[in-house]
Amino acid sequence: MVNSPAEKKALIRVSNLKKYFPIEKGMLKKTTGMVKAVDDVSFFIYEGETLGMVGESGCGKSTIGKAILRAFDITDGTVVYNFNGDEIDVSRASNRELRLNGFRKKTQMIFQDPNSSLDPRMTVLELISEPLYANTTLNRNEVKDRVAYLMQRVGLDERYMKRYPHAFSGGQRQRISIARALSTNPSFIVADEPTSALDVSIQAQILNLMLELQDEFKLTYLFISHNLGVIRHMSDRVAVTYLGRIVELAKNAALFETPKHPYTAALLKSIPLADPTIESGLEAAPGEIGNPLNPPPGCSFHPRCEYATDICRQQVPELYDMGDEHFVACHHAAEITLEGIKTRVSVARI
Amino acid sequence: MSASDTILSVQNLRTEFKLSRGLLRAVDDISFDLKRGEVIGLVGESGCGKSIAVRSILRIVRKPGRSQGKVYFHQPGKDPVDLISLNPMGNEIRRIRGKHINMIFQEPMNALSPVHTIANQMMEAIMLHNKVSKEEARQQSVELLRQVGIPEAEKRIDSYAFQLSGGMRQRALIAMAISCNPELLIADEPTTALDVSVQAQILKLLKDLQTQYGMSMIFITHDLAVVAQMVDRVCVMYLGQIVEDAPVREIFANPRHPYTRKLMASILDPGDPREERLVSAIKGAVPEPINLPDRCCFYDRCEERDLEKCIRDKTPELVDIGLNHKVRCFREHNIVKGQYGKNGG
Repeated sequence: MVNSPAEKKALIRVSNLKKYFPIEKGMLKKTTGMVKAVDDVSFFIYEGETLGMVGESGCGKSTIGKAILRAFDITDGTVVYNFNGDEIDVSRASNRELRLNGFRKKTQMIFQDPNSSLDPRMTVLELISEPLYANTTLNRNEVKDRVAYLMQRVGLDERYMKRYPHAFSGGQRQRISIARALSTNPSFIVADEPTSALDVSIQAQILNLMLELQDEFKLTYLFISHNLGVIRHMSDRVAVTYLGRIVELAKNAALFETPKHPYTAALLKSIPLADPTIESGLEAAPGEIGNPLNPPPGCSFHPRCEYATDICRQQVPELYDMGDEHFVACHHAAEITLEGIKTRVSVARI
Repeated sequence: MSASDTILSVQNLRTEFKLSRGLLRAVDDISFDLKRGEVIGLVGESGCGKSIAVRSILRIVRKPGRSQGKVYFHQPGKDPVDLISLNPMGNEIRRIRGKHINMIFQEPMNALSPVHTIANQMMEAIMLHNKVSKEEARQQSVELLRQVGIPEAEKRIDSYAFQLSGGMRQRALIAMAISCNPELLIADEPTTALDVSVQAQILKLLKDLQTQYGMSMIFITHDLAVVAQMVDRVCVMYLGQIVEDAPVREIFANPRHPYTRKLMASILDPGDPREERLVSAIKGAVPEPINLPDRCCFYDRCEERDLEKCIRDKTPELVDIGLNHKVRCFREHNIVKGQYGKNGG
C-alpha cells in the first residue's frame, strides 16, 4: 500500500486497482479466461502535478487511465478523489451518481488519435459544446460564447466553429480535442498519447499548449505515453508499467538517472539518443513482452531479467518505497546497481 | 568519386501529381549519390516527399504520379541503367526490383499477404529471381528466418502474418527483403509501428545485416534519434526538396539550414533534463505542396529569414559549403564566395 506524504495534497488515491477483461468463447459466451489488464495497482497523483505513465503496448497504461476516470466498471480496488477537501469515492458509484456529484465535470480525457476521437459528422461547435450541454445548465448563447473563448484559447480561429473536423490538420484537430476537454473547467485530465499521431514540430506546439493550460487552469495531468523523451519533458513524477502492474514510480530525474528496476533500465537502454557519437538504442531486453492472458508467475519480468533468481519465479514483488518517494517492485532492487540514461554530448544546442 | 563506387545516382528527380486542384509537386528536383556500402537517411515530417522519392526510384508511384529526371543504378561490369527511363511494369525493372533493390515497409501487417503463409511469400520471391527447386527455396527461407532471429523457424515459416507478433512480422519482412541478396535496401520507417524495445532489436538486426552483406541502404524516418544511430549521411527534406545534406556527425554538430536547426531543437531527448518549461516549436504547419510560389520553401515559417536576401522569386540552390555539407538556404550563399555568381548574394 502506497501512502502519500502529508505535506503535499493528493488529488487522487488509487489502491489495489484491478481490471480484468473476460475472454468469452462459443455461442453461450462461456468465460474461458481473464486478461489481467490492470492487476493490483496502487498510486496517488498530487494536485497540480503531471504524473507520466510509460510502458509498451499492452502493458495496461491506457486501461489504468480509463479506469480511474470510471470509463468502465472496475473489477476491484478503490479510486478516491479529493476536490478541495471534497472526498469522492468513485470506485463503486453509478454513472448517475458520477454525473450528479460533479465528477464528470471535473475530469476529462484527451485521446491519441484525433481522427477517430472526433465524430466526423459533428461541427467543431457541436463537438466542443457536447460536454457543456451534458454537464451544465448554460443556455445556447452562453455555450456559443464559451466555445468561442475555448477555441481562441487553444489557438483556433473561432470563425471556423461551423466547420467539420476533416477541414482541419492533425495538430488543429488535437487542439479541438483539448478545447473539448477544457470545456467544463476540469481539474484533472488524462492525456492518452496526445501527440503520438503528430509530427515532431506539431508535437512541440501541442505539448506547449498543454503546459500553458496547466499553469493557467491549475490542471493535474495523468500523461500516458510510450515516448520517453516526451515523458521526460512533461512529467514531475513517472510510473513505469509492465504487464498490468506498476514496476517503478519515482521523481522524473531519479527515474531516468538512477533507475532501480531492471525493466526500467532495459527500457532506457533501448532508446536511441539523438547523438551520433554515442552508440545507443541497439540493445534491448531479450525476448518479447509476456502474454497478459497468461502472465509468467512471480515477477512478470523474470523471463527477460538477467538478475532473476528463484524468489522472482515464485513471488510477486510488492511496490515499496526505497526512500525519497522512489517506489520499486523488485526483489533485488536493494542489491543491484543499474545504469541510467546517457546524456548527449557532441550535439549543437540551439 | 569514381563511378564504380557509386551504386545509385539520383539526378534532378521530380515527381508530380496532376490533381484537379492543381499540380502537386511531391518530389521537387532532388539529387544525391549513394556509395556502395553507404547508409543514407532521408529525414523529414509527413508530406515532405521522402516516401514518394524512394517509390519513384523503385518506379512504384501510383497514378497519376509522374517522375522525371535520371536515376542511374550502377552494377559492377554493366552499363548504368536509368530506372526512370524504364517501363514501370516492364521486365527490366522487375528484374532489378526485388532482386537488386528491395524495400521494407513501415507497417508489416499491410506489406505481408494475409492469405498466404510466410513460406509461400518467401519462396515466391526466391524462385522468381533464382533457378532453384521448391525444396531448396524452402530450405533457404528457413535459413533466412533463422538468421533474422525468428525462433523455431521451421515451424514459424508455415504461419500466416496475423499469427506473428509485430516484431516477428517485421523480422519476416526483413528476411524476405534480403532473400535475394540485394545490393541496395530501402527501409521506409521500418520501426515506427514498433515498441521501443522491439525497435532496438530490429535496428540492431538491420545494422548487423548491413555490415555483414555490405549493403547500401536508404533509411527513411522522421525520428532524428534513429537517424543518429543508423546512418552515415543525412538528407533533410522539406516540401519535396532536400534542404540539407551532410555526414551524420557534421549535421548534428553543425546544422546549417534553419529548418534542420528547428527540427533538432524540437527533439525531446530522454537524456536531457528539462531546462525550460516550453519546447522549441516551429510556428505554423507544413503547407500543402500544391501550386506553391517559386521561392524558398521554408520562407513562411523561417524565423531566421533575412529580408534582404530571402525575398526573391526563386528557390535557393543546394550549395556545397565544404566538408561534404550542402545547404539550400540563401543566407548560406554569401559564405561560399563565387558560388552565387551573377545574382549577387
